[in-house]
Amino acid sequence: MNCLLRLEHITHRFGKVLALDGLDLAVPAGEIYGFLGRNGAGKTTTLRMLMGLMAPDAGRIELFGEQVKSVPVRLKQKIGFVPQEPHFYPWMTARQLGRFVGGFYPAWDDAEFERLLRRLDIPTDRKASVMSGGTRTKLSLALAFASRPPLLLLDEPTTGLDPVARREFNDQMIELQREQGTTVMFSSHLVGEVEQVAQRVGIIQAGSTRFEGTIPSLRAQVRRIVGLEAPFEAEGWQRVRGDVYRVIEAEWNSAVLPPGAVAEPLGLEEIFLAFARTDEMPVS
Amino acid sequence: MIALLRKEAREHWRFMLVLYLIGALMFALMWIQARSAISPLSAWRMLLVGFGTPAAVLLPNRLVMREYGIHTQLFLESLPIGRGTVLMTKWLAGWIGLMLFFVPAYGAALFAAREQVYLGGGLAGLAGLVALRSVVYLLFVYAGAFAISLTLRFRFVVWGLLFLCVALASSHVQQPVGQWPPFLVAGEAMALEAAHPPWREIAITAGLACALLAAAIALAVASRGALVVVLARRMSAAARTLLAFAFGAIAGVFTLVDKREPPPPFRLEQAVSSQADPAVHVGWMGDIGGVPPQRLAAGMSSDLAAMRDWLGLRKLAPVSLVPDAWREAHEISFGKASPDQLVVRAALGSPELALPQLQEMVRIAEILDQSPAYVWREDRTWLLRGFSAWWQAGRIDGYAALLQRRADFADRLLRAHGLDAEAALRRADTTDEVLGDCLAGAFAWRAVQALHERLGPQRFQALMRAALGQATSDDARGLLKLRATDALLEDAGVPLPRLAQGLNRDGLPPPPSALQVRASRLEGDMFELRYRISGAVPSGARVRYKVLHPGEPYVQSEDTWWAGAGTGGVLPATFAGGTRVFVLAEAYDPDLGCRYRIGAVREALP
Repeated sequence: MNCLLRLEHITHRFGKVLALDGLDLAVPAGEIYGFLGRNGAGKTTTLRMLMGLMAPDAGRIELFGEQVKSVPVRLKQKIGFVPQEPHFYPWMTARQLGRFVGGFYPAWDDAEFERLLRRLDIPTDRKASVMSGGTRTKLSLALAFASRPPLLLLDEPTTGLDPVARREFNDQMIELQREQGTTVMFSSHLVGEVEQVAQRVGIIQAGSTRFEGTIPSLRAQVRRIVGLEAPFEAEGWQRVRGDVYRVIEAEWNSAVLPPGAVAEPLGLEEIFLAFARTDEMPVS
Repeated sequence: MIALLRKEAREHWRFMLVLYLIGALMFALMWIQARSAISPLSAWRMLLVGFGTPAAVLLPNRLVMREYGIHTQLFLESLPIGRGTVLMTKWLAGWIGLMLFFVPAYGAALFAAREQVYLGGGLAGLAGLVALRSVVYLLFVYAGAFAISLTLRFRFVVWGLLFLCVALASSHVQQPVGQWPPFLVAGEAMALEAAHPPWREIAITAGLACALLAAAIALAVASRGALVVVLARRMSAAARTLLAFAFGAIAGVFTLVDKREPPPPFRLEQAVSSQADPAVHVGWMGDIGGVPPQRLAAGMSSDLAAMRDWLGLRKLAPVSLVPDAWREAHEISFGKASPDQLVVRAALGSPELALPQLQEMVRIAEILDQSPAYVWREDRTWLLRGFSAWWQAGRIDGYAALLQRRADFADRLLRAHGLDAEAALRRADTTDEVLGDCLAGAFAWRAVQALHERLGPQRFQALMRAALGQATSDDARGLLKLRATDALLEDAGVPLPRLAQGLNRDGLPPPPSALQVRASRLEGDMFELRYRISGAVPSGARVRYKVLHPGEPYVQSEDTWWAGAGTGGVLPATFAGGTRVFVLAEAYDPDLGCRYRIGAVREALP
């Protein structure tokens, strides 16, 4: 698998708080990677690390096939970024922002930016201070794609958008990704959104990766066993939480479950909850 | 970096424009004020300190805080550019912004001062040194303010701590703040010290500026700029407590430092002193005006004590008579020295020194020391001078006759200038300009003598106590407390117009000589001024002049420049149209025993 981005055993502390605890992930080229996790799981810290704003305390970063201690500016020129809440200069119009941002990217494409503005229906002569939240997020997407980056990072870009605007944004993002063949890493805590957008998913909890793979493989590997009187234990089986277990698909097909126990497939949201919830299970 | 610089220019141009306009206005005002200063370049120094300091503090504060205030630093962080580059670009943008004002302003200052200040010598000359000191000072303030602005939410705390430290240090340590290298570099001597620049202080200030720049860079790039991000967050309760302790600790540490020792009291070495109170110290071992110093000191002390009792003054300040061989005999001045002493400077060794004039000046100095507000009332001047001369005349035989001769001559000069006695008394500055100190004093004496004759000894004493014996402060309260001389005379039953009427004399001959000044156009708008002394020209006549500026009502002889000593000639300078020039001619008259003004002309060029 040709990966554009690979993180291995990344650790980062903020004082006494362990934000990333041996994080591993790999983003294959040309795919949309959904980075799922609860608030505070370490998603933004990971993305800030990939934006070169902080260096890991330990671990290995491989970006565009190059191993780096931290992300230098020259590699950052190949990365587009859409933040959760874009903070543009309020006095700049979309065009002025394009001219400003374009100065920092060698591969900036002015014509593409103009096309994106039209396509995303962004007013060109309105100041950022009077744009709606949705328009600002779309403008952020246009600015990110106009530099034709091989890798695009999105940090919960649809947080704060209404469902319609969220759907529109995601659709346009998918179309643009297909047009340019960009590799996208998309962080979110909204399972439905990731399911709609991503081909591959990584679930992060407490700073470490709990699962990484395609969504069908996730569904195939994680299921619930209904009717168990005692926890099920077998070699290769991992109890995720309560009666939710993880094992390779072939094992599920050949597994001999205790009498009365039945394996049921789970929705992505239930799987995510099983990985992400940390509260005590009620005694059944 | 160019894109960032362009962005900073677009974002802050309005702020900078307002700053420039304020700076230009301040520069214009300071330039007008500096016309009466020792060098016109002192306007530059005032601009540097008065405008450059706040501008160098405000600019970086705005450049940094605006970015963090509206969170656009998060947007910049998403671009392929380092935090260090962003902040260093801001540093550069602010510095360029400062220089865009100060470089042209300095050019304008040099251009305007080119005919009054020697600017030769290239970079090693005055112009180069003032530029170097200005740049070093501005760099120091700017680099410091930028480093402090990077502490973001903590910046007010840092400024507070800084001011607390400076204020405490200023009041405690032996060397005052004005003598510290950064402040000395932009000190008052900046516009003058071409010969002896304070290289050590300049080097220290430049070093501090570099250290502050390094601190700013360190803050900007430390932990990839994460430190600045942390500082932008709201202060925790622990941080606030720590800072409160820091303030307390600094204040506490300074209580351990000994208080600054006061400067040693002024003391004349090898002076001859009086035994009685008030103490009079004479710093000259030879005779003064024909009187031995010991006798002079004792005589002046008893004379001052008598005046104190007569006027009902408080305890008089000790007086030191300081020799000053560089002065002319008639130039006597006074000032204050620590602690609460009067210092009178005069050419004590000069055979031409008029002792009565010296004694009159000492008396005036003592009265003004107790009532500084008298200086602000022009209508009190003749009473003060006249009283001192009247007091003197009562103690020296024949002095009244001399004053009478001088007053008669003063009458002739005043009449020639179209001034009657009332106007001459009311407008003391104009009278001084027309007559000079000596004759103006005699004219005032005549008015006081007339008062004495009309009121009788007791009522005269009461009037003088009311007019000259009131202790006042040296501020607006003193001025409010003082009654007008007119009102005092009215109360005494001798209104000023009636008193002046008795002083006017008819049938006076014109002065024996007169000064004439004529402007002639050289070319275009340039003029030269020719002068001529007509009539019986006294020997030793000399001519002096001064260019008058707006709001300059009275010219003192010491402020004028030498023009010539003949009976006619051309002033050594040329003048532009619209300029006003004051020209005076004066001579010594043995019969009057002092210098007098042959003429005083204010010439306005077309």
